[in-house]
Amino acid sequence: MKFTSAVYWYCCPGLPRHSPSLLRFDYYFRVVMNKLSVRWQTTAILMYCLFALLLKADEAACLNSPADYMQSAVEEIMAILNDDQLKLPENSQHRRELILTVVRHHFDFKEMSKLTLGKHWQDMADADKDHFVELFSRLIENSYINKIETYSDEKIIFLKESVRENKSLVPTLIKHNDLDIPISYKLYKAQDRWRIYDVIIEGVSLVQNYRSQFNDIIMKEKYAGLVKRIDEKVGKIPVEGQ
Amino acid sequence: MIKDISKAKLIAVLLFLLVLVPGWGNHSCLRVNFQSSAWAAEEMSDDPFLDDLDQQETGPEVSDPLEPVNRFFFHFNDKLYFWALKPVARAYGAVLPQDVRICIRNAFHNLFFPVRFVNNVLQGKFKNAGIEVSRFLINTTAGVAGFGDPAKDVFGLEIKEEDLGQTFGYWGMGDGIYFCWPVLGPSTMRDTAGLFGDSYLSPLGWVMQNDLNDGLALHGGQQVNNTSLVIGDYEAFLQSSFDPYISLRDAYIQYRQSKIKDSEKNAKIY
Repeated sequence: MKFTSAVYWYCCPGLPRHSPSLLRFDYYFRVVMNKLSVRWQTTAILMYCLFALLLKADEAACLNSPADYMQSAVEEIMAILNDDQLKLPENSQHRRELILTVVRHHFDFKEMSKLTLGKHWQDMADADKDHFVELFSRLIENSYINKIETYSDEKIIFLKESVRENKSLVPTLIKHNDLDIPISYKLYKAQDRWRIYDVIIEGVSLVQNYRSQFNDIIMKEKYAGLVKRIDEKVGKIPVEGQ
Repeated sequence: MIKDISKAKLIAVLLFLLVLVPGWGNHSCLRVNFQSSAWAAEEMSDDPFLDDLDQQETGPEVSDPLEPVNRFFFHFNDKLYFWALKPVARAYGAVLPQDVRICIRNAFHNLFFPVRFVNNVLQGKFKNAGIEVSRFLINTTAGVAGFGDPAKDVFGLEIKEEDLGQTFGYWGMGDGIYFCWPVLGPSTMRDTAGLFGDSYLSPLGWVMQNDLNDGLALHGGQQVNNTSLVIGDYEAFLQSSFDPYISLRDAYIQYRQSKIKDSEKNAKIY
């Protein structure tokens, strides 16, 4: 991993990471570094670390509002989706990995898994839980990524968010075929960071919808049946670029 | 897609209600429903933060005693979509450009003004009813018979979508049992009754009463036109769901509840 990105990643977990400007900055940083003497290189690195630490201190202040946070997350993904370089077929795998890192960073898949399984969650062994979280995150990633891919040209409007204690609801509107599709994100704050635990499209909660299906499947086919069904589904959803 | 299915496909409702209505008064499900309206009101409390992150409880469930029949009609509708509606809508969409189809959708929507107006009034939302009147007047004149939507684009007047099913919900009636009607798609006892009542307010219903063929043709035209704008949505839904029947049932119930909740929220703006 590139040095500047690494520092940036450590210091600013919530800020956009894959913005084209950052990638460009990374490139120029290395070009300049190659031309400097060792002493100046050390100085430059120290300066950069200091700058990044300042950003880190600032981050808490500038990302207080969950709507800002969501906006930066969405812009991050949009930057990847709209990056011409990454649109090239040979970069498609890289592009998907970039999107995945961003999505994994912002969604709390463990919490989502817990909510979708509801009362069945407590009866499960820890290993099963981990396995399910992994399966479920791949399911959401696939369907969510396929969804936002189709929305990449649409305009997203952020509406006024509501916050109560450590939870918040960020409503957005997406214009699609001259219709406004309301998509709300439910977030909660843990360790000074907002994370998404539910997506509500046209009033329909994703977690709740999966829960009603999973519950039905567990009743009829037990947990093993559910795992089998998700496995099939994750394998079947077309992976972008393949 | 859900919206399309739940929109008035009136003639089938009339047919089914002929079967339903005789036992109306002493229908046990309906009675249970009225009794449980306290429960319904509680569940629709206007708190977006009340969820399972804190307490482990299951969300809204609907009673579905007719599941085998409903599942049969769900598959029937599925085939109807893939074998009839989708190919026709595809061909139609290939002939007419998207802008034109959006205009036609607007024009049909404009015709249903009486439904929205009356239901806003029934829920005591006089301001929203007024907005609907303005929308209708502006769009019928400046919007050329409702093909354009200058009321929204120029004056910023948003649609205040209300129907009788929402009104009943607003009054505190619960869902009742779940139905999946052939052609009409997902509905509940309450919303089916709502559709029946709304058909007296909709111009399409009036046309149908005078001339069944014209009414059906118009209705079919509307469905094809609207479907042509959302091709792919149903396919995506099928792809992402494990049991499409359960998924659609849950989505429908959630969708209607959020509509009713929105209604309650809007009511505070006078």
